[in-house]
This record gives sequence, structure tokens and C-alpha cells, in this order.
Amino acid sequence: MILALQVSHFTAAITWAFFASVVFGITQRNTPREMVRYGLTCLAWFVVAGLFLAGWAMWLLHH
Amino acid sequence: MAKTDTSTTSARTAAPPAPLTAMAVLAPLIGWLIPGAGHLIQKRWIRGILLMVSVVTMFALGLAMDGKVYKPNTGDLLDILGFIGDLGAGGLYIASRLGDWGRSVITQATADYGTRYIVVAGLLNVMSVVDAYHIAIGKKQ
Repeated sequence: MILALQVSHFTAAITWAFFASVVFGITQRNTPREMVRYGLTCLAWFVVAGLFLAGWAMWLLHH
Repeated sequence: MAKTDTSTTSARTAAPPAPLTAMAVLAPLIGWLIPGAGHLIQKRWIRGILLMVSVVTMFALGLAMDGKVYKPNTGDLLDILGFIGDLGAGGLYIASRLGDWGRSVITQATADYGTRYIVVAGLLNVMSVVDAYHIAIGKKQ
């Protein structure tokens, strides 16, 4: 039996954010420079808003 | 009373129709079947490879996490939406169904992450396909 890959929620979310940002950057902008900038912006928003803000909001709701 | 110049507005908004070339049909189709290939056949090598690596890796990680691969006609609305998302991965979805990869039931938290990875890989591939089409019709460089 092959064991499933076990990752933490944080690792899964960071990896997800990275690959999603790559695709967002390439598909949503026209020049390579804009693509890199937009990709990094998306990654920053995913990490800051998606992970930390939502994470703390859920923690506060839970406690 | 001032009259609005409607002729200028309509001329500005009416874009010429995109030319239907062979590439405009082939690029999205191949890009759907093989993620990133729609860009590669148009010689956008770096973009194509990055898209391919991103989508294939997300799909593979989803499967490695024991993610669920949705099937059509289960009758559940959420399953139908999941199926539409998965279908976006094109050839990867077809291969996963043929090879019976992935789980049909989510049994652990990691598998739930995996299921989302697989759905999002499909949705990201749809974005990639649309981008390949835009390049093919000259809307994007």
C-alpha cells in the first residue's frame, strides 16, 4: 500500500499559493516584467491575506 | 441639452472579430490536453514550461495526498462542480480516470487538501488555455 503524502495545512497552503501565483502572473499580464511583479503580488496577498489574516480570524472565532 | 455622441462610443467599443486560424483552434485544444503545450506550440517556451510544471505538479501533489478525483453524474451539486474543475486539467484528468488514480472518498484532512489541489490544477489549466487562445488570436504577445 502506498502511503499518502502528509503535509501540514501551512505547507499545503504555501505550495498552493506559489503555483497559483505562477499561473496568475503568466496569464494575467503581458510583459515578463509585469508577470513577475503580478505573480509576486499575488503570492504576497495569498500568504498575508489568505494565511495570516484568515488564519487569525479563524483562531479568534474558535476561541 | 447636450447630445451624446453615440457613434463615437459604439465605434470605440466594437472590436474587430478575432480571426479564426488553425492555431486559434489547436492551441487551446492542445493546451487543455497537455497543460502548457498551447504555449509551447506557439514558441512561448518559458511560459509553457512554467505553466506545465505548475499545473502538473499541483495535480500530482493532489493525487499524492490521496485527493478525490470527481466523477460525472453522481447527482450531488458539489460533486458536479468538482467534476467541472477536475475536467479542466484535460489529459491529466483523463489519465487519472483511466488509471483509476486518486480516491473516491475523502478519509483524512490531507486528502481534502489533495482534492482542492486537483480541482485548482484544473481551473488553473483553464486559465492557461484561455491565455494560449489570446496569444493565438494576437490579443496578447
